[in-house]
Amino acid sequence: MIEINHLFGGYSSFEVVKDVSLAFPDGQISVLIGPNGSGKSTLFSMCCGMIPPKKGDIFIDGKSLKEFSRKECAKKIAMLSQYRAIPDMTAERLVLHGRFPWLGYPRVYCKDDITIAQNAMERTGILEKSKSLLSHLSGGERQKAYLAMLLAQNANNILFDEPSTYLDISCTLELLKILLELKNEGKCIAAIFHDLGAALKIADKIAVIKDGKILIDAAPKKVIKSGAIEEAFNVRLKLSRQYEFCIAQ
Amino acid sequence: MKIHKRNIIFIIAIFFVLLFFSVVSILTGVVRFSFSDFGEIFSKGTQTMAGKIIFYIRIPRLFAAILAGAALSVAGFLIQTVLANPLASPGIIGVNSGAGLFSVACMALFPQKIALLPFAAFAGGMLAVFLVYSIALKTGASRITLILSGAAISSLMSAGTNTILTFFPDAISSYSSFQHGGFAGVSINTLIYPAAVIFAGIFLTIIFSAELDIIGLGENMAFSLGLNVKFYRLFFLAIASALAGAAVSFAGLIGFVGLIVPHMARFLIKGAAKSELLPVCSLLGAAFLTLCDLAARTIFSPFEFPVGIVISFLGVPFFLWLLFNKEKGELK
Repeated sequence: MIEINHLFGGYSSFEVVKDVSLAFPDGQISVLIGPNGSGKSTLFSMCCGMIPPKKGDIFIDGKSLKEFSRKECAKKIAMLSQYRAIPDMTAERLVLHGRFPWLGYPRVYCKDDITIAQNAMERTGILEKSKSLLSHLSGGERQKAYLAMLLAQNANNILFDEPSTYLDISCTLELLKILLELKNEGKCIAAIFHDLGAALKIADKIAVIKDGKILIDAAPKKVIKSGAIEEAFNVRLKLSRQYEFCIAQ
Repeated sequence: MKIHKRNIIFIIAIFFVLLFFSVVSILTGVVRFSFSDFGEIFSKGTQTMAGKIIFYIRIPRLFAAILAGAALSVAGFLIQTVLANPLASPGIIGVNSGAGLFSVACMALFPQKIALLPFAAFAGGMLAVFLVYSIALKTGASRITLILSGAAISSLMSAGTNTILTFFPDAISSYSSFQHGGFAGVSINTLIYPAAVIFAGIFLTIIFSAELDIIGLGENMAFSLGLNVKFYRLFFLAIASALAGAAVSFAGLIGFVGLIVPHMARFLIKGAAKSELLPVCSLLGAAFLTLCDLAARTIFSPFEFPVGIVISFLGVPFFLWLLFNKEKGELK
């Protein structure tokens, strides 16, 4: 579980996140939505310690983030960043890197690490392409490889920063299915989505952020009724029909 | 640090290529020697003319080429990985010029202190790399910005070198040889300290190759996997500066080796881990520079020109090829 208490922070003198208090509970999918530049990615970066807060605190599974070493933190919280490199390596090697926080010197992967990586690849459907170079994979397949790396990291708290960007509908549905599975396993899942339909369908709770401040943090229906989405995005929301995703097995 | 069989074969094959070039390099030059001349060294030592030439000229020169090739290639590999920039290399981002400035300053101010040279060169390389990196960060850190700031810092450092040489013209034996890079006149004594730095640098890089692999995933991903990104970035850039500085301290400003060889290594063993790429990179760099030095000595024999010129003839077209052929997204 991630708890954020009166958090302020950003880049040098530019404050992006302003007095944010939020909780991402275990066994739930919490979605953060907001316009571009509203502070969503910055907030996620602060949650995994990448950007130190100016004020306030973040608790991971009840312990302050400040008390974690870098390695301990990576065992507790994993983040799939919005910007992903295409390094010169196979999908299998990338997924094995998910075990990095768990390795001691001299960084040799044991049988368990390899089994965990294999299972993660099987789960995301990339096992067949495990020996392929990342540069030879499609955008969707690369995303699956990164997702498998995240699963191999085996952290209880997982942050997804716009995970469905550049994915086609089939890949998006597969991704949502995995998020639901992770939630059912009791993991704490927090995600930033630009696709409001997907966000409303999958989320147990939604936080709307604008100019670094949380407008509302509640169940999807309550968020829709509150008018916070209209306020944040400066649009009129019209729900003409229910979104239904058929998640293929 | 598991190494695949296929890649072990590559490493052994490149080692034998290096060995072959080394033997040819020892036997070939203005004066050509046979294998029997070479064999006589073991029985007669430096008593014969062949022994003297091989022992005091050819072997130190070969070692210099091997050391500089390995050092500059690994330095280039580190810089390209840490800065996530396929166009970067110690020559292009000003590390060599910084190391050159401090080397010349050291030779001008402390001409008797040979041991200081690699450390002065290291300090100069570090100064350049951090100036370039800070400028690129301040101005947006795009890959092309990094190259442009490297060019600017490189010019500034070269201007500094020229200023020192105006006041201390005897600081280096041959300005042309230093400016273009070359191994004429190197002795075993001048190689001892740089060799220690180069071996230590390559050894440390291989030991921490897993961290280098993680840094190659990009800053955010590396951080999320629990790597202390700031520390390791600094650590690897410091090693790159030490390696390039050590090479510059005896070989002058050899450019492009650190650009070309890492790409060759990645092309040869695609998708390999850094623990596999690093030995390939160092052996390939050593073989490449040995071959270039051989060409510099023999193409217009008995005339010889600095090895840096040969490499520039290869390096500039390669740089332009990279610029035009890499996917646009990789270079922005």
